[in-house]
Amino acid sequence: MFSQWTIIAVFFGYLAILFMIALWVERKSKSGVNIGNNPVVYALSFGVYCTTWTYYGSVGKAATSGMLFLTVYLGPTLAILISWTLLRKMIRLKNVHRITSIADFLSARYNKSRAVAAITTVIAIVGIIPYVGLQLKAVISTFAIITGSPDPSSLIDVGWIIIGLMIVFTIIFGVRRLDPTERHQGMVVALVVECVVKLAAFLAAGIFVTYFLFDGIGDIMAKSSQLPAAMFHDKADTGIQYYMTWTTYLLLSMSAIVFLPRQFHIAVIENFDENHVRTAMWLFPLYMFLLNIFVFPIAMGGLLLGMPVAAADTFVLELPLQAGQKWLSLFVFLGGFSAAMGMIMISSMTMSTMITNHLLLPVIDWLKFLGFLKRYLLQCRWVIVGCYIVTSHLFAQFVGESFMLVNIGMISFAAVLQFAPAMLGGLFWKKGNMCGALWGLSAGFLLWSYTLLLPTLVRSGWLADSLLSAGLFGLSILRPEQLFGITTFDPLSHAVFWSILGNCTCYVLGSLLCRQDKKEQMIAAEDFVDILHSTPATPSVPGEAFVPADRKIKELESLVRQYFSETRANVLVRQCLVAMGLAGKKMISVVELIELHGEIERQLAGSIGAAAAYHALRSGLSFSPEEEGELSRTYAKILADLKLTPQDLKARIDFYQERQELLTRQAAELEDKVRELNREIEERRQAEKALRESEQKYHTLVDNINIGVFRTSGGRGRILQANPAMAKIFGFDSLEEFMHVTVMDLYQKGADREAFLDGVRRDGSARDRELAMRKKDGTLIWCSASATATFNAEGNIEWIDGVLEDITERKKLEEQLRQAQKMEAIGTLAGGIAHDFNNILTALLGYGNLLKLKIGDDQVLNNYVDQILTASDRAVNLTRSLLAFSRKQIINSRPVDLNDIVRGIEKLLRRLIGEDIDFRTILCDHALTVLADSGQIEQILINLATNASDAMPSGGIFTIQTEQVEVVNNSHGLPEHLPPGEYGLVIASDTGRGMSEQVKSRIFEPFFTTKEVGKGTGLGLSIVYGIIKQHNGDVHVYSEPGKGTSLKIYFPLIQSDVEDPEQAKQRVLLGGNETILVAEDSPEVRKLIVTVLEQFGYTVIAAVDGEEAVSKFAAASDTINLLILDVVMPKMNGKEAFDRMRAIRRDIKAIFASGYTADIIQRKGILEDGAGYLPKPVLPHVLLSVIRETLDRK
Amino acid sequence: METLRKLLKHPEFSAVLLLFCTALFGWPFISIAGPSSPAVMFVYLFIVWAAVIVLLFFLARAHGDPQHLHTQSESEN
Repeated sequence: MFSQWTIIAVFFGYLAILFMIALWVERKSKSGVNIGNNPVVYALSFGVYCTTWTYYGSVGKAATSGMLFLTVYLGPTLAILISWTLLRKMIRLKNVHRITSIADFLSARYNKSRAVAAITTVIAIVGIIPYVGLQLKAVISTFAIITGSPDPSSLIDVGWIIIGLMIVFTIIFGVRRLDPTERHQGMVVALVVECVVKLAAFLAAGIFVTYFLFDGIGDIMAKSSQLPAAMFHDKADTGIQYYMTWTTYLLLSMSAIVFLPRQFHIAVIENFDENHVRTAMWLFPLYMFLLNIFVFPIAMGGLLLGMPVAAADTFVLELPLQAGQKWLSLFVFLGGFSAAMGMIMISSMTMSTMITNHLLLPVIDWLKFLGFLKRYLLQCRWVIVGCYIVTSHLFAQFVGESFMLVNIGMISFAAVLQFAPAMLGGLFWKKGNMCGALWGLSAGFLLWSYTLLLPTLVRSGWLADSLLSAGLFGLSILRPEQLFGITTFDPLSHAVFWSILGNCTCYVLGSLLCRQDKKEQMIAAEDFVDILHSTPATPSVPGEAFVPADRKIKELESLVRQYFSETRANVLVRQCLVAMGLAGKKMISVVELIELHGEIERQLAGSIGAAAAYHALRSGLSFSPEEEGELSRTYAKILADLKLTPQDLKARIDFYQERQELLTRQAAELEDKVRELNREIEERRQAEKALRESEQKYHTLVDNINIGVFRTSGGRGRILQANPAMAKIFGFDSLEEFMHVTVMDLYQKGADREAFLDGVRRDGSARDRELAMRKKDGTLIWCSASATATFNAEGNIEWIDGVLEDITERKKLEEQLRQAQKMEAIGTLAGGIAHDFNNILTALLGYGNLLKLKIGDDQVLNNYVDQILTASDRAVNLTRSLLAFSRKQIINSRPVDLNDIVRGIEKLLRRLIGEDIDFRTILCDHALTVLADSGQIEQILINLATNASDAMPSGGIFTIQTEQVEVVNNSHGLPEHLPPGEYGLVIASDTGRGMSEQVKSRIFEPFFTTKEVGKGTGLGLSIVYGIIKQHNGDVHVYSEPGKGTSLKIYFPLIQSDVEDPEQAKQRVLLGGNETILVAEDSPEVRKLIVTVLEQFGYTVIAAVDGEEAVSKFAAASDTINLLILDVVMPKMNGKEAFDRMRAIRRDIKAIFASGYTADIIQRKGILEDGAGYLPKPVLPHVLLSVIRETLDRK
Repeated sequence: METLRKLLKHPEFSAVLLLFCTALFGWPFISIAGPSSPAVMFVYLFIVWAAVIVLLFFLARAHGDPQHLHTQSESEN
């Protein structure tokens, strides 16, 4: 809890801040910066609608009647849907007539009627006083809560302090000047700050209750469903009555947002720019939405926490306070204070203007002795502000205690609803007139007073209860809350029904029964109903200037001095003279005088209201007989000139008026058409612009793509259109140059063009046709073309549209792929043949060697055997060559220097190529270490030397050159498939015959030879190719017929210090006494191995396939030391058999025999770590060596 | 979209919207939830309210068309 003086200090502090803000805004406006001229400020100032009624009362209503409270905010949201039309009309009228209040507005509309303004003011006073009273009541009640004072009546002094503060603040910022049509920017901005503070405070309280005292809205809703329905919903309010009340609330709040005097003032009088309405249309509903989102959760939260329903009005303050949130409570209290203060400030300011202009001034005019008060109108307003606020407070003290906040608010809303028929009728119905307005307002006010105000006074104990129960004069049909026996409605709906029914009926009947005079008709039609359509008045033609200006000016100054000080009055008249262009004139015409009167009246209306100003001018000024005579003469001259009687003139005027109206309508229609035409032109311009942009995009796209786009004629193909890519594809420097060629010129063969045209002619189009074409320089290019033909009426091709793509590179790659696949297929075939052939050779060589050992010194037989062995060796070489080509030969790779290899074989090569060929070597000055089988590299060099020798039968130069090259990505002139890195390059060049392109493309094919029959096998370069590929290298051939050939061979370099992985070891071929299981499906090979092994002391167990091997191993696994397994065997292959046997004995060693190389076997997952490899054909010494090596390995 | 903008500009359309929204916020629509189910009514009313605010935003924007500022004044009378 806070002490009373703390809260009062907070009040002072808060008001001081607002004061400073308002002062700053006012000062800024004087320097030309209008902070109030802002749509957001305008929209938020509408928040004055949300008073303490919203702040505290809505929670109370939610606790007792559920969602009914929300109608008070839904109604304004609905009204805003038509605000664009409604508000703009009112704002324009305010600017034209310098309207000061809603009473002034009605008065201006209804023939400047003082009576209409007066009755409007009376309704507003009676209707709004309770409303202001409830604000004060709320502030004082909550002051008691926040300070912990048990009895609010003890706070009477504090209440007066608050009231005093509000009166002072209102006077300083709202009633500082006499002209209320001047905007109060400082006050409005201070009001906006208050609106923001109250929103922030309420949201803070809502969030605290919803998310700190409960677990969110869902939690509250779930728990509130356990509350008894009657707790927040009166049984009497169920059914049709509930919806009737709901609808009544909606209707009342819809009218209140526009017709409450303070809302009218904020929305209309304080408006700077009618466009600001657009922002207010959505921002103000959003403001209300946010302000109300937590109302229901707070109400339910209070009830769930056991707080009494009767205290629901103060839940928003009590809940944080009871939860110990002292500072939050203070903030909430300050929000409530802001809500009250904003409302009181604007309302009392508006009411003071209305009371002064429409009640006080008529009384002063009537009671002449009070005339001096006209000079003290400003001070009168100050007094009225004070009286109004004090009266409201007293009302709250004596009457308001018996009502909840929301109910008091609704009484006020029902009062201002009485303005609706006269206001809306005045804006949209030309026949609505002063009589109707007076009747309607009076009837509505009387019915409202009788059905709503009277019961309120009765309930407050001011009048006897019998009035309610028995009715006026004891007539039950006159019971105020059941008038004429109607009991269907709740009291509020009942009052609204009767008052608005009476009001509307009287307004319409009065308007129809009473005739409007001409002036009122003109005001109704041109000034009000058609305000959004009005055209500026044409300047009148002044007559003869004979009226002395000085005399008339003095008259006017004298009139104005009744209301203002002498200085101010003189300034005002001077301003009017300047505005009318009459300043400095000695004489003015009667017409100018009348116009000057009009301007003075308009200016005066800004201070004392339209009605008072009108009557002031009519009563305070008069025309001299001379002026009247001049007016008559002018009139008579017009009649004479026109040769018309007054009746004829009137008829003519009517005729011309009608004609003018007709012309005006026609002009308006023409304007509409012109506008429509302009709109269409604008739309067409927009469409053309869009089309241009689209075309630009299309051109950009077509011009920038790499695919050629064209349009050509038929026949030879004249190029009609093409994009730059077309010229680029065909090697032309510019599109202009390209456009001069014909399509036929671009074909390699004219027949292709004809075939293409035939296809297009037949099918209408062609898709992905591959065409051999030529560039500007004649180079062959391959293009893929897709085209569609357009035919003329005769069926001939008119033009061909299409796209064309250069696919030369793709074709090259396809050719390379095809070549690689062909070589791979041939290699696989050759390798397969060699494999089977090796088995045969194993038997031949093996038994041949054994036979040679057996036959001793018989020369004849030895000769025969040698012939067999020699032929077998040649067969082995042939097989090896095939394997080498197919890259399935065993290679003995180790680090070698390419230079050493060349040096080592140099002498052999020199002898091989003959003396008539000059053999030269150019070696790199540093080592080129590669991982290679030196024998294979030598084989390459031998084969190349042999071919060079054959290519230079008449002698020439054969050069072997070595160097180091680095291959990087896209290295120009290097083989395309080499990965980047360092390479050792061997170049073998000759100056021989060279080769054609066709020969060059086939030189690596096996058995392809250009040599005579019997002179070459056609395997030389195939072997070279195979060896190179097996060493992960590549070869590139350069050859020109008649000039020679050069082969560049690339081997990947390794670091020279790499350790030799295969240290050659000279082993003595030794046998052994171990037991070896031999599994070989070929009987010849199996028998040979068994024979050799037994000769060298081994015990051999032979098996014909994998299955037998496994069963024999299982039977004698302990005694077997080694397995020799053929890789490919029926039933079970060597790998499978080995796996089974390893399952029996983990440490068993094995050797795999195969015609394939080790890497092939390894790739198939056959060789395990530690397993040996025995190449086929099996040679006895190799067999023994591998066995010994495997057995001795640990 | 352009058609919708044109529609929003008509004052008659605002009047129709007023009637439609009044129906949404009044009987018979609110009777679906009923006064005895304030939680359901709470959700319904706030959702519709939010939708109307969005609609108002677009309505205000449609009125912001400079050409419209001129043309509408005729049609409103």
